[in-house]
Amino acid sequence: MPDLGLEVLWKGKNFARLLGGLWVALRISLIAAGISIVLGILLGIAASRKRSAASVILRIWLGIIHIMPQMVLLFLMFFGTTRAFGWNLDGETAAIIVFTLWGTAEMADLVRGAVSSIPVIQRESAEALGLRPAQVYRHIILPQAVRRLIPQSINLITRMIKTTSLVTLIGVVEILKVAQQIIEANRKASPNAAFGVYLTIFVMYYLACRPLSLAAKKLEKHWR
Amino acid sequence: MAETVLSISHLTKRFDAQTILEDLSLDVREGEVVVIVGSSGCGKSTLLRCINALENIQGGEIRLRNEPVIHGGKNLPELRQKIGMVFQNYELFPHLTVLDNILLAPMKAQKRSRQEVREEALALLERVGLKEKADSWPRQLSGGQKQRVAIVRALIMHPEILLFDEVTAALDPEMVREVLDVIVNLADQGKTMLIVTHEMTFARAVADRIILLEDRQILEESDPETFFTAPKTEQAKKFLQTFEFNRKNKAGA
Repeated sequence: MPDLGLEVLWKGKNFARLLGGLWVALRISLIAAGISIVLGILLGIAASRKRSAASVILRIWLGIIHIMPQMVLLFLMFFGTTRAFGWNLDGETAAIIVFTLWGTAEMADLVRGAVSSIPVIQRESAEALGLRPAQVYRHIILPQAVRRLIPQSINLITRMIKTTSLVTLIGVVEILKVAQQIIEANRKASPNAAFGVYLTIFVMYYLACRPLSLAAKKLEKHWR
Repeated sequence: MAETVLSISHLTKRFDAQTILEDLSLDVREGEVVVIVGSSGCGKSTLLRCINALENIQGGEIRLRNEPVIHGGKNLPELRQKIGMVFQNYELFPHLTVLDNILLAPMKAQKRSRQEVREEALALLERVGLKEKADSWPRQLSGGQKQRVAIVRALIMHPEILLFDEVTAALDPEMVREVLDVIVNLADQGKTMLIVTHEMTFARAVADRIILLEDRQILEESDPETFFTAPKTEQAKKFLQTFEFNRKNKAGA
């Protein structure tokens, strides 16, 4: 069996450090995802009304987010705001803001699409029963929209988790940065550590994202 | 004479430049079953949709027990509770069980207790032969079963009037009967109903009054016997002929 350089994991606190790095990555993405879901639902519902101000705002916002690489947004938020406004954001806060800007836009678009995909006559038949518009939303439109939303929003959250690997570029020490530090420190003693450490990261990302996909599958099955 | 439940006066409905209904007036009295017939696209369904303000109107007035029904009006939800509507494609809520489909509006809109409406719902389901389907999902039902559930969902609100919008048009022929039987039954119980249908035998059997809607207006209005045996207008004769078939070279014809 070739030397995979796995032994570095057991040196000192390396494994715990990797887990710590994973936690930083998850913390950024999950906080951002949580805020994005709340804001995205609100904005998405507002934007599901055709020709509303919210739908115009969302379209422009999405246009910008889609064109801009996340890395540019991160640099803009971290370095740009310091120069322009004198803000002194730490890397993690800047990352959460950028991920929230991205997540909210995409989430709102998913919600808008899901709400619009519910046939108008479903709303009409609920209104015909004498339910108020807010009740129609609460009991008819949203429950059906949420069911259609689950797969894509889980996909969005896992993409957010994966994209946290970029935040190392604004100085946040997350799992990838920790990995590079470990590999650098053991260059002489375990020259093959790169393989073992990155393989470990691969497994860790998988284990972090897998429960989300499983939960999504379960919900989809439950609601079918 | 029984009291007027629904009163439509000089109703005009336009979609952009196209006029669908023009200066149409119609009264429905308590306990009366009025059937509206007419060729496709004559505005029958639009008329029903105007009655519970799913459409805005460009002229005239609709009153339910003397209260104006206004599109976007403030008390519209309360008024709609008194107007039961059954749609062509059932429109059950797919994410709720049969029972929850029925319970939603009485519990949320009328604030009745679950216990009370549940009992009533089960009794109504039993009457339409679907008691054992209470916990099923809409997708597990046939079209005819779905439509019967939709009727129960409207009935449980104790509406003043029931509107039926071509409720058998989407059904396979063998399921039409089970739905129409339920409606005939409701007529026997003295429910006030306004029915749009293409089923002429059913119309003749269930109606107290038949209305032919054609060219944006009520063209003919009479009791079913007169309408089917001695129609007054040329259009009514023509309309009824569309349901007859004759073979010219058939022996004895």
